[in-house]
Amino acid sequence: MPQNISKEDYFKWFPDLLLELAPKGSIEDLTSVREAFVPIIKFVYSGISIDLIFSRLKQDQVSKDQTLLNDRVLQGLEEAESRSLNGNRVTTEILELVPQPGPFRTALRGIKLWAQRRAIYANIIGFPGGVAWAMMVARVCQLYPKATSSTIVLKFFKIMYQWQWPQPVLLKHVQQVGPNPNAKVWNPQVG
Amino acid sequence: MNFTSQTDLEHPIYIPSTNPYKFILNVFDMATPYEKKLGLTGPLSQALPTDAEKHQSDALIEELRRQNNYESAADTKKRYVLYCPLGRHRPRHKYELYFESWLTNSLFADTMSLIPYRRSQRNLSNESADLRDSLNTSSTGKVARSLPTAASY
Repeated sequence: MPQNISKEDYFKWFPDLLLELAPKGSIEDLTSVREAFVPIIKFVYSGISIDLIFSRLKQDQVSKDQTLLNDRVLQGLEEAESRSLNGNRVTTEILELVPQPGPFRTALRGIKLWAQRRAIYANIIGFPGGVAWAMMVARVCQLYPKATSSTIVLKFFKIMYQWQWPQPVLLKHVQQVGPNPNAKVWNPQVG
Repeated sequence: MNFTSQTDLEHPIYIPSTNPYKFILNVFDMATPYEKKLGLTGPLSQALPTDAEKHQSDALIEELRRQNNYESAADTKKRYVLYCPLGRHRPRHKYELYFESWLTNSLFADTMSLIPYRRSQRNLSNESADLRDSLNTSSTGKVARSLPTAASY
């Protein structure tokens, strides 16, 4: 959203706007979760579950091809606002840090399916969530840059079995991102 | 003194290359493919996949497909239908969305602009301060009244 639309505006106007814009009856179970860590509007559109995140950019206009990877988009945003951009930025960055996106995606599909079947997939119950599994697979891809998806799955289990936890799985150096000097940076020593 | 090569010298002499782009050309050497350095440590293996590994990957994709892990063509089509109405340009709604923040901001700006002015008027006589107050009140009231209501959209 452009800068002159606040979070309050979004939650006040957007749910009704969505219902009006979409074909009648196609949106079900629309709920606004304002007070969440990342405020969202949840709904089911034609059977597809969607979490719509609000985030504001310090711009007067937002073009259709707006990308969020550049750290400059964080300029002038509060911590809560920049958290809303995290999902997109992390996903894009993981793909940037992987040697071959194709095998990475296939291997990740396999690993995620396995984790879901074993019921060890979800942050909310104390297991790695989507991003954590993706980062682990991405690290294995970095270690075997030319391997195919099946090899990555095999090496994933070998490497993660021997991993010296709680040593973090890092894809790049932890760095102070963005121009905001007060933004919190993750410190693996603290946890 | 005759030197056959620079290795004969105790201190080799730097001879500038005749090609000023020598260093640049070395960087963009077409023969060696460019490889992005990824990760904090180097790769464990750079080995290319064998035929057996490629077959296993195909089998993996086949199995994932059997487990309905890939989106079907029908679902993809449904998603495209979704993008259309949400991306449709409806300027009327844009103003509706702007309305609330505009209302707040304009009223807020109006009030804020009065504060320093009132302070500067403190030392004036009671009569003119009262006149000023009445003018300010009426101007604020006028702004609020002239705003369109949400129902008028």
